[in-house]
Amino acid sequence: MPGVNAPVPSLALLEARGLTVHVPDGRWRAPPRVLLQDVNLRVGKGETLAVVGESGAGKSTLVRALLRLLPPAAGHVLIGGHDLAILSPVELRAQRRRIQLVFQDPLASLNPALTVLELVADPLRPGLRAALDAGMRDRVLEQLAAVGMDARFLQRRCSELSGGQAQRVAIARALITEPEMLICDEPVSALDLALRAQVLELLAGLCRSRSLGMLMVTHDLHAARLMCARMLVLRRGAVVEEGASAELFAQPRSDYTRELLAAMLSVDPAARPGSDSVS
Amino acid sequence: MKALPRASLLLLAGLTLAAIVVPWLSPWDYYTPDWDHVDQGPGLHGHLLGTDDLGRDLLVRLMWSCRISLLVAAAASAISLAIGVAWGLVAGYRGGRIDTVMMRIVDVLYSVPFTPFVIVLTVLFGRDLVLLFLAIGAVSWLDIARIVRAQTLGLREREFVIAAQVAGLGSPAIMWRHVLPNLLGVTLVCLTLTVPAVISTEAFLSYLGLGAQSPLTSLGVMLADGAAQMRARPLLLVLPAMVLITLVYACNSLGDALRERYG
Amino acid sequence: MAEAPLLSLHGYGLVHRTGGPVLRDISFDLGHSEILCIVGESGSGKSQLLMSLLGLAMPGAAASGSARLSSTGLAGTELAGTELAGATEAVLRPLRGRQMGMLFQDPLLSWNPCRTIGSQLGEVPSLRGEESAQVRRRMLQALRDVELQEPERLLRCYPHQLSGGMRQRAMLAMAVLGQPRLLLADEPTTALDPTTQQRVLQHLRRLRAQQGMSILLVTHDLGVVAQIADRVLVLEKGCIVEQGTVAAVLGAPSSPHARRLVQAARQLEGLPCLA
Repeated sequence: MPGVNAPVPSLALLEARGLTVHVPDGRWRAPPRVLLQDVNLRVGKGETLAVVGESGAGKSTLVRALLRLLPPAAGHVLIGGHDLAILSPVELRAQRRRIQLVFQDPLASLNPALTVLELVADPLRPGLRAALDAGMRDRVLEQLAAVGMDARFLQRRCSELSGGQAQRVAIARALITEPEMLICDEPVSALDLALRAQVLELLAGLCRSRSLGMLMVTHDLHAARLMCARMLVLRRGAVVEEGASAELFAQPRSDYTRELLAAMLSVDPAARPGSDSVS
Repeated sequence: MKALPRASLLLLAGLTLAAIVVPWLSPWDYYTPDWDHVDQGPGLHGHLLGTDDLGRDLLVRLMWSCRISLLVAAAASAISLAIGVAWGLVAGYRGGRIDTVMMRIVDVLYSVPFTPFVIVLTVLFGRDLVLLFLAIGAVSWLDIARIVRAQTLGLREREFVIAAQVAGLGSPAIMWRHVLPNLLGVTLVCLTLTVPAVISTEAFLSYLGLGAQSPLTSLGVMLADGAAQMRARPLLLVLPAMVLITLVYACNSLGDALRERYG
Repeated sequence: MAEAPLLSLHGYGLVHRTGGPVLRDISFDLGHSEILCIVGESGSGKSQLLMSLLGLAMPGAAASGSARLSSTGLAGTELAGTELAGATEAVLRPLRGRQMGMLFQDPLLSWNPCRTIGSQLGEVPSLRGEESAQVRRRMLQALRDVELQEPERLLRCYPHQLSGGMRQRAMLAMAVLGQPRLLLADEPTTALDPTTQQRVLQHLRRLRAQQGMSILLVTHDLGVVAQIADRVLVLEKGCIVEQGTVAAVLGAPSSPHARRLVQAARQLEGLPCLA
């Protein structure tokens, strides 16, 4: 029998067990606010999982806790079977590089003082003195090509890029360390409609071609179903329901999931409610 | 965006140029007395602005004073900027106990009264110009450290810094490549506030006799000499006063404009 | 009997302070009790259109053409309306809040964080000159109309104590407190959760039904358009490229730009592409 405290070896790339995150309440002697309560999730290599929920549900907190940018009050986060809590800072950094993050607002996630070349090459230079050499430049060009951008963009700064271009640069940066998984936090909600489908397709294509796992956080249920095979519904920090996307859509088990599904808007005019009375 | 005030720019550039060029071109230096023309008013007898009571050429002394003031201002500002930015950056970025310790040190140093401190230094090490700008630099970095730390606290939460952390960059690399370049704006603002303050402080210390040692002169020293002979030779006081006021005004006004543009 | 439209734009244009065009040749009519949605991508000028009608365009921007708001009168009578294009503050201020209500995107920014909801609601111009008991009654009723629970407690709350959805609904209550005939809404549901979005859209439909209010709603979300609009206007780079009923524009768009937008939206939902 394995020891009680030893984590059970698992094949999941990213796993959370009983993840609980508290934040101190500002008031005097008030109990801490619970941001996440006992969250369990697994994403294996090449698997896709969508985390859906409303604002305040704890989706962004979950992302930060998974990357150990926030310390959990209880529970474990494991990357490739290694418990992040017991790793040294150097080992932690090495494990973190296996999972990269694509943020919601591309222009905020790119340093305004750097050029595209420096931005995309940044993860390749973890030390203070690492120079930007020709080998790195080639790798940057390779990743930019994979997101549909060419050498023209190398010397531009992000203030000269459109929203869609900036998000592609952010994706290129996320891919350059050859991670095994991408966590996307509302990757297209800040973009124009016409660009959303393109960027989502790009992400889906890249994940397929490089066998990347994907965890997508979103409040857009359409996008969640389109991109991810499995879905997890979060409400006020707790997991309400989890399962295959198609199943969840067809037969939601919890009332909250039903509420979320009912609130989805469709561009199909036939789906419009008939009367103007208060429903 | 308004253009930088031309008058101030010209004044500052003019004074700096004069400070460099005039002593070089003039046959007189700032300490050799001209026994033929002691205590003369301005005129065309070889001393454009006249001489002081020891026969030293006033124009050259004035320009030398400018040199010293500007030198001290530049050196002290550079030192305080370097220390202040580094201190504030590390304290703000690391946070936690390191931040607390570093900022408490700043608080303690802040409470040390400046003038007595310089007096003690002078007593210990004698009057020395280098000592002067080390002392001034050592005190002015405190404000900069606080401002930079506040700015760093905000920058630390920005998404691109988090992206760098997730990408596996070490803290030194993040601070150098990501946080520091975005601090340049606030650093420039600090600089525009420090330089005029340092010029005034140096004049004040030299006036008290704590700064440049005779025969080396500075605006403060000339002010002290001029104040002593105010009734007999008012020009000895008025000239350095005008130069000091012009310098500080020009720096302040340029600082205002730069703050508007980049602040 | 054809009624004169509530708002009528002819050749309306807006030019940047530097001379660059923001809007060109905008012409459309908004009838009474009608919901018209303006869609477009970022940079199409849709927000600027709304803001300039309220007189809140970028400083230095110059409007041209005509934007006529009909004045209150019996239906069918021809009263000279108010010309909004290039109107001065003196003309626009009495209209805001009374004839035209405004609803903006970010509910946090629209509220003064230092004052309670009640004190800000009480400032609405149409309440001026009324006695405080009456004012309070109207405020409570307005909050109840948007289905906010415990309106008495809400009046004493500060904006940061409410959730985003509640703030936006309170904002809606404030906008319609003066019973305006026209509501101008700039992406009112973009920052909201889907469930709250549904509720706000329901309220808007109800306001149209009960008060006969017309709504000019700017959005980039075609789902919102499908849900609530009677007619749609599609803007691209400051010009109207298509306008028509919702069924026409979303079901069978004719202009290439509108087609692209609808296809993208359908693709995101997993719907089959248009024929």
